[in-house]
Amino acid sequence: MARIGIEWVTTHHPDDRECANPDLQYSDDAAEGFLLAMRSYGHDQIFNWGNDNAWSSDFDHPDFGGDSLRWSDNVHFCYFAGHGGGHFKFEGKLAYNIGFPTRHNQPDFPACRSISPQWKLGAKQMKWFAIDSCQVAEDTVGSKIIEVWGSAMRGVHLVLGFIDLQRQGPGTRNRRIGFGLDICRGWPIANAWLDTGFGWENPKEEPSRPIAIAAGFTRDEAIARRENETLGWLWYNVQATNWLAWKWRG
Amino acid sequence: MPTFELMTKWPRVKCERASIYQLASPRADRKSLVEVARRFGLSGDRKTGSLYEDARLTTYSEGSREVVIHHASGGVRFHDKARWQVDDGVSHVEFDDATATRMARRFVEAHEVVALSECKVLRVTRLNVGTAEVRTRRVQERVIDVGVAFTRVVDGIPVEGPGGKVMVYIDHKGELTGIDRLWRSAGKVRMKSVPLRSPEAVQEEAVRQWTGPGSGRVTVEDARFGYFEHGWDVSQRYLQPAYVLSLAIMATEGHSAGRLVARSEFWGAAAEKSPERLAPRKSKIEPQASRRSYRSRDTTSA
Repeated sequence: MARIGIEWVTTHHPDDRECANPDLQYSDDAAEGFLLAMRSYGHDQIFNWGNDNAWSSDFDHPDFGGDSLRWSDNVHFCYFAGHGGGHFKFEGKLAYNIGFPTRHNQPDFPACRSISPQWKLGAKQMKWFAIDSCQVAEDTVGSKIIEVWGSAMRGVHLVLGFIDLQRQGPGTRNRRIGFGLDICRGWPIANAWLDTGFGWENPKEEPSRPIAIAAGFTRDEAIARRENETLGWLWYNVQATNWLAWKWRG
Repeated sequence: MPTFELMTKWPRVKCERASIYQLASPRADRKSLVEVARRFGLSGDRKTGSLYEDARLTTYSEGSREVVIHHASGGVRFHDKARWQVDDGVSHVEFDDATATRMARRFVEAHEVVALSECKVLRVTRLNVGTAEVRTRRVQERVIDVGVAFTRVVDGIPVEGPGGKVMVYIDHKGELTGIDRLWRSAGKVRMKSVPLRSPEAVQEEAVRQWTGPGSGRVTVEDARFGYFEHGWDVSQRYLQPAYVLSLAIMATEGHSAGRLVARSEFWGAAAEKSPERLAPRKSKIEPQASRRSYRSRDTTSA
């Protein structure tokens, strides 16, 4: 059985100008829908932190003052739903961040944010990290995917997210429940994410484009994980992230 | 408090009335599953294939080919799991949208998925794969399938929402790897020519939902009128008209100020007297006790 931890943010605090962000209506539905599905198959809920209880330090590695090894990296499957974004450089490198409503990081780091240069995903236990947020990939340029995720993935098998802006609405909860149920019945994780996450109902808009990024010691291993990895691969560790293999529908 | 603005024209509704259809109970039993399996070239023989059933689905598979029926909706999926969305390491789809659409139409007809006269092409999608060595950052990318999506049309009105859709998946050889059909059977007209609400009334509902103490600007970027069908695992009794609003959410404060930070949707019933709730009731956020400690309740290592 996999250990599951979720964090989600629907409500931000407009009075804290540095941390303010528009509220989101469906982040709790998304993360808790996924958790509900996983629990229905007997997987273990380790934590479920929402709004002010969701802390950026849960994702920052201790080398950067964080506490990831006791939270996000102390579960096999970590799921975050809330604001996320690319579009910025940190120490000269393209970076990604996820947003939180309260301050739980060191004062010299960006407030209320956990940024990818402070991540060592999979350093302890994390195998799969679903980021139900915007701009896990800012666009579809492969070199940018490598720049952000090549250094952040340190043992994690798969990172799941969305390209550019993603869309959450009244149907999101059922989609994320569907994702959880599909991987529990043995579907490859990347395929299930793409299948349930792709939103294409409005022909006038860019679809909601899910992306799955797999790591591997070799090219073949990264591709195998992208194509075939199921929850049953939990104990097959990534020895080193030498290669990334990704897929997305758009 | 977030501000709300309209950046689109309201959809032109030809008449101020529309019919509401009763939907037939979904046929999601083993017999109908076998019928569907045979349409996709499977033998449908229990001795050859295997059957799996849980509360959500019934699945019949022969080798790598699988047919699934979702109990709540009656939606059907056929996939060759060895090829559907799977990269063989070399393939690259090169045909254009028009060619893909022609192929997809042929598959829809050949497997009696739906009547082509009852749908229109919604979108052509592509499944992209990439690999790169982290050290060299040399990227290789290909397209491994093309998906052609069709949407249902009822009384000349398109069906909005996740349902009322067919998706045809085609590989680089132009061969079928899967078909999804989420298309509830419409029964008799339950209410004929019911009066419709104005789109402005639905917008007011959306404003009420999004109004709160937070910051940001919510923009209605697109508004569409159509019949509405839900997703795979939702029971639905009526096919009713609806307005679907596409919302763009912009940050007005904080480090993302001035940028779009999310998209969302609002579903509102169009009939003045809707027979069935359209959007699922929002789950209530359970209050959590404040975290005080950095310590996890469980620090077991793998």
